[in-house]
Amino acid sequence: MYSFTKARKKPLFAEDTKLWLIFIGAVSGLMIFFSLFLLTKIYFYQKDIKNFKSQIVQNRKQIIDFTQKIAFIKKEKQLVTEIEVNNELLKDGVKNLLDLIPDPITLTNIKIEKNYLYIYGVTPTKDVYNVLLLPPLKSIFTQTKTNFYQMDNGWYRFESINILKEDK
Amino acid sequence: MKLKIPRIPKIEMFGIDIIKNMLFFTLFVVIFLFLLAVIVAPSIKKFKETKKEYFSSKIKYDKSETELEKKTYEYQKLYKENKRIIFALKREFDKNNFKMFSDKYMKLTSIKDKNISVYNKEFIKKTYIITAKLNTPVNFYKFVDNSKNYKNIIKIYFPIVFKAKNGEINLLYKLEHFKVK
Repeated sequence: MYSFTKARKKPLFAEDTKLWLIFIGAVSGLMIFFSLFLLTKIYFYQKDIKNFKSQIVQNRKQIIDFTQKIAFIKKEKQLVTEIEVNNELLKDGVKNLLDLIPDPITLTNIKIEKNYLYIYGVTPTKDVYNVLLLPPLKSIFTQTKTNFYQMDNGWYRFESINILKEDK
Repeated sequence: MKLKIPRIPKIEMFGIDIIKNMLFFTLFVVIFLFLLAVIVAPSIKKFKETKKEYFSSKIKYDKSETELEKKTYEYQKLYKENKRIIFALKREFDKNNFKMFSDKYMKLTSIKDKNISVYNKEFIKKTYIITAKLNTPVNFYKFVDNSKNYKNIIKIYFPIVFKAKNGEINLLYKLEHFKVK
């Protein structure tokens, strides 16, 4: 058979079908793209969360470390303060004790312990010792014992043992 | 035998195929709802949860950072203020150096090691018995006063013995040196 018109190519899809397919494809694509975008954001958030968590653990370790170091420095400071106070008190104690010795009395030997004092010296008379040195010693120590030994020149060597008993 | 497929009737209005477009609209709604339910909604839900967790972690992180900064500052300040003590407590006791230090006040005759003990669990206490000669007890006071400036941490302790001999004073005292364990 012969036809006067040329055969036209029949499109695979009609125009409106094409439009629908493009529209559905575009909307689906956008939705998938949006989901992928969210998933990417989630991935980065989770990565940051992981970093935060590990950083928090590290920070906590460092905080504990610093806290221990601070406590130790405070301990060191306390120890040194105690030592400095002890040295100061010891110096004042010895100084006050030696200042107690009146001029006529000469000491040749002093032994100072925490609760004990031994004094060995020379006094012109027993009275000088008993009036000038004994009262302050008695006021400090709980027990005071003195022995006198007369010398050739009439002066006395004395030996004083003083004990401080701490209250229980 | 020929198979008969039922054909969808074609209803056209202004040249538009109503049935076909209705079917495509239905297909679009179905696909849209399916994607929304299966992909988008779970993603949004997960995103919201993660975002909440992120901010919660960030707040905790910021808090720990602030606390760390505070502690670091406190430590650095304390370290700076007590640098002398910290280094002094790390040093070993050097007898020759101590002799040089003491020489300003008295003539050191001997330094005898007595014992070593642990003090307060974290420190070591080394005890020495020192003997020296000096002219006046005032030098002993000056020495004790200046001991806080010595490079080691030293404690002067009992017994303290002063013995007058040949116009000089023989001194004996206990010295305790403290060091970090």
